[in-house]
Amino acid sequence: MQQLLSVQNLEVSFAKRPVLRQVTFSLAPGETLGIVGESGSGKSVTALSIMGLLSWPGRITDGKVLWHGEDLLQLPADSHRQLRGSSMAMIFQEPMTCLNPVYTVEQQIAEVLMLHQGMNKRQASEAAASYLEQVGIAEPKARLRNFPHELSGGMRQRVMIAMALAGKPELLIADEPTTALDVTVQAQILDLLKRLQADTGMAMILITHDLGLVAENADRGIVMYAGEVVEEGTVSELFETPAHPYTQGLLRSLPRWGEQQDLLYSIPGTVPRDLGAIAGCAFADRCPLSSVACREQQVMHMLSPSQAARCRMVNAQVKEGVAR
Amino acid sequence: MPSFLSRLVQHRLATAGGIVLIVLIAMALFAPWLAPHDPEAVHPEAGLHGPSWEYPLGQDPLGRCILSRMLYGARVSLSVGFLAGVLSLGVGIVMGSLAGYFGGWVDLVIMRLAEVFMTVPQFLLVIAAVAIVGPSFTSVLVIIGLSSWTGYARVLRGEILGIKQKPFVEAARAYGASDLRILARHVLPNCLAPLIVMVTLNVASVILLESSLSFLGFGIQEPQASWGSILSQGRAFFQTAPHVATFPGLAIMAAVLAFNLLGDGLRDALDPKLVEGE
Repeated sequence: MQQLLSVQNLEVSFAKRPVLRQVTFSLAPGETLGIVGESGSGKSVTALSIMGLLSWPGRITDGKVLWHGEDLLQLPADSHRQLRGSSMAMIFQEPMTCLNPVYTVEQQIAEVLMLHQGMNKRQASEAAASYLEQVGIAEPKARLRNFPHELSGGMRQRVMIAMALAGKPELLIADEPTTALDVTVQAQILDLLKRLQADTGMAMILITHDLGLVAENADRGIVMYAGEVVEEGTVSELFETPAHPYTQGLLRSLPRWGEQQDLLYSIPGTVPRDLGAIAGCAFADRCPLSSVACREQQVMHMLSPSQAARCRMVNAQVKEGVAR
Repeated sequence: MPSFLSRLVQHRLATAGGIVLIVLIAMALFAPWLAPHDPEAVHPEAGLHGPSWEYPLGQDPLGRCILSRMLYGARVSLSVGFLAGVLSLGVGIVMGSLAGYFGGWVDLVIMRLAEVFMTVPQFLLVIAAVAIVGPSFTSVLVIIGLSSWTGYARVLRGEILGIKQKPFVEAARAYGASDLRILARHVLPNCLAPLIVMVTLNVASVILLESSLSFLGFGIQEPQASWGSILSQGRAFFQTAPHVATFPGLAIMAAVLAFNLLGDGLRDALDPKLVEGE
């Protein structure tokens, strides 16, 4: 199948400090890809690079971002801008502040419609209500006249989603869309995103640090650590036969239902600060299996047609992981 | 917008300021019909006479009717105040937006230019420029307007530096809005509240500046009147004929106060975040 998006060996530096190294993954139309990783692992930087929103001092130093086979990094800034909001849309973590406080909901949705669907002001105002209805907001006509501060967090995130939909995107990047919301609202928002995806056929990249969200909502997932993709696979592969010691550590850190635990497991050590100083596996310092050979550059090892991990020990690991 | 107007009307002091301004503007507009005498008719024998039935606010050193001169002077003072205020606001918005939004060397150049302007006292700058161009209504207006943009530019730049980091600006970039659109539609409207307050203060200070210029003979030229020139004429006779300086002084005070009250009300009414508390 023709890939919708294919990121190849993407490298990004912030003021000469590398923050993304050799990030490679792809996404088919309609697919949901989860990107998991802790803070600072490069999840958001990856998303911003795809959108062309990386700002100074961040700079893409190498790699390709292919969109329908065309390299976005070679596009003039203005052409990339026109793709934003129409072909690819993004929603953010902070629904409380992502809406402009001086405009009503109607004006903000209408702006996207005018920008990307060539509507005039009146048409856009009329169409705005149907988008609010689509994202499950009750009394859409009345809500249109509200200012952002009059809405709850969940409502604002719905409005953000409505604005993202208004450009009819093929790809929606959701950067921690529910982190700032409480649990019941989280579930509603994710159900909504799933339903909209089924309705419109758009692909989605779900960026999160919550493994549960990926398990429930994604088709495939990639695990990022210190600016690298350490493991990639279908959701069942990642959760049932994790191959990379980091992925295994993450899964061990989750509390288990019905199990008596005094102290949750945590991976010893912390994330390395200066990635430029690391030549080999970035996880080696915290890894129970590390050896001298891990200090050299690591490559992805294929475990199945869909699963791969950036770990030298991977063959031994698979056997052990299955046995576990 | 109707809600904005109703909020402004609810602000009692702002309404009072607005009414005073409307009255002053009406006086300026209808001066030819309201003035009891020709403002330039000289009666040297009646110099410095106090208020009477015929001359309600008295007469100046040359015996001219102070009320009539003040009505005509309102035209000069208010229009210099407004136009120079708007001009400097315009220049300030352009300069401040460029500096704050685009940053880098644009910011560096504009802010250094602003600092150069600010190292020279504005009054000296204006006097020097008027001396070169020659004093007239237009030259005073343009020179004052072009010399007082620095305050706006600096305040706006600071506001923009804060606002452009907000997530909604990034969200606007993420749905494909261009830089110009983001600046005009998303950044500037969130920065205007302090500028509106500044405009009202600035208009007031321009009125005072024009008065000072006229006092020194660099501003509005005789026999044309402005509040400042009448006031400065009266200064010399303040102990013997206080009415000459008092009435234009009161007019300047009323105008300045009215502008400030209105600005205060505008700031509250334009801020959607304050509505929440009502």
